[in-house]
Amino acid sequence: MLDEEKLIALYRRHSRELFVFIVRYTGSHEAAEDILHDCFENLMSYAARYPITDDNLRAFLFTTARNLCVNRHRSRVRRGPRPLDESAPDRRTAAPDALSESRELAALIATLVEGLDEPDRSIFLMKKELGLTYPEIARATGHSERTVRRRLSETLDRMRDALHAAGFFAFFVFFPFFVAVYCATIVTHAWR
Amino acid sequence: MKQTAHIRDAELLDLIDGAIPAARSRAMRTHAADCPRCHARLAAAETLLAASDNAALAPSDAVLRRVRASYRRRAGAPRRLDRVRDFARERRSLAIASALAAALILLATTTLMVRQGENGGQVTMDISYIEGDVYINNAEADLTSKIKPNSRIRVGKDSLIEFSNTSAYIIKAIDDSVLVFERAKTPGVRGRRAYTIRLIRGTILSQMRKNTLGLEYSYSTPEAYLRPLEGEFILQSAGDRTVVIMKSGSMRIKSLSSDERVTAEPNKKYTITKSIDRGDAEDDDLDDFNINDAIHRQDGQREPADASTGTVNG
Repeated sequence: MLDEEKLIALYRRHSRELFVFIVRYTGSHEAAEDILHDCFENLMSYAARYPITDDNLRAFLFTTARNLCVNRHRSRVRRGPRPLDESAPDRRTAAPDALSESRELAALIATLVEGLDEPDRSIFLMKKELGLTYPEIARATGHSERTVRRRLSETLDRMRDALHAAGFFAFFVFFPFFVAVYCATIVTHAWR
Repeated sequence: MKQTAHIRDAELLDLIDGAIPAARSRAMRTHAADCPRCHARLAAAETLLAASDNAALAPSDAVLRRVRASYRRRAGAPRRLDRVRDFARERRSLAIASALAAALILLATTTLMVRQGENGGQVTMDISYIEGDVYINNAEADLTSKIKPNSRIRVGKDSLIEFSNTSAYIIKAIDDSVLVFERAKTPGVRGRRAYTIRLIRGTILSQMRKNTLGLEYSYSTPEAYLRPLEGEFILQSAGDRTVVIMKSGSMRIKSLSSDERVTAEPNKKYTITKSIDRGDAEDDDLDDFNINDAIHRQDGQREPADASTGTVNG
């Protein structure tokens, strides 16, 4: 059984990264607070029966957070879509200025994340938002490290195609071409 | 080292992670600069895996309070169970006899409860948070106090108490409120653990969890029951009237005296004494009130007393 001080210390150490993952997964600040509380409830139940070590704790918390997110997602899918709260920008009202491209890109990535199935969604978010290592993601999702890497690669390919279709990354594709034209211009000027 | 082959998927992930030796990494990036395909893959993967701006994301203090309250609720129970287990191990026959006796008593109690019906069981509320001056039956309350049936709770000005007995809901009473936690008078509901919270003065907020699907918030004043749907609003309870001014969004209001119901809309002022009066909201109207200008948001956090609006997301 955990003592209260230890529990609070664990909360302070891990709550923020868990919260970031849950908010990015659910798109809702208030649902994330609820799930975060439930994660620590589960930790208390677990700690009452099994020893907790620093080694398995983080994986346990992420596994729990992920399971709770998945359960919530399933029940929401059954109920039909609901609007996201303020953490997800509304693409329709995004201002058409230079800054809005990065915002639109972030919004589009958020939309693509919403369309990802498990375990791809968890793997992608654990890598993107928390920078977990592949062994850590493998433990939290219950897949092998090899599977995690393969699925993340496939996810990135699919998302890249979707972003291309939406008009992002044209710049990157033609970047070498721009460089070549620029160099040619300089060389031409030098000759004159 | 010059790399001519395309970057493989596994290598691409390690390259982004910085898990590839410097020389090899340089060679891969040089190749990517010349190869449109690898360049696009690398750029896309780096962009997609760049962390979002999460600086502003942090759970509110209310979560820590809820975690602490859950811990304290649990902390008592296992110790009692351990004592029972130890007793059963040491005195097996006596334990069996005790278990039989307990079963008989339980049966008798159940019968009594069924017979007494509306009295229900003993429900005790645990306090998860206190701010300012809060008194239970005229004794100053702290986090170890218990709220038993027929307790009278008095919350001072600029004060707050949160309490519950399950994780399914939480009740908050704020700012100059008086309430009584009492057994429910529910004829026909036999043997059920039911209770009511009778609000004499002030405002209470209840946060209910609807399965796993989210939270539902409602406010109660002695005159009205209010359920915000979304938007911003001002809620004031003073004397024998409740005033709601919607700034945006909508809210369902029910007058507890006349059972009249309306959906509150922006730029209208709703005054509930017995029935609900509707008028245009003018800023001057706010001057009528000098107490209990309690402001609310959906997450249940109370704004500073001089703030004047709240936000609710549906």
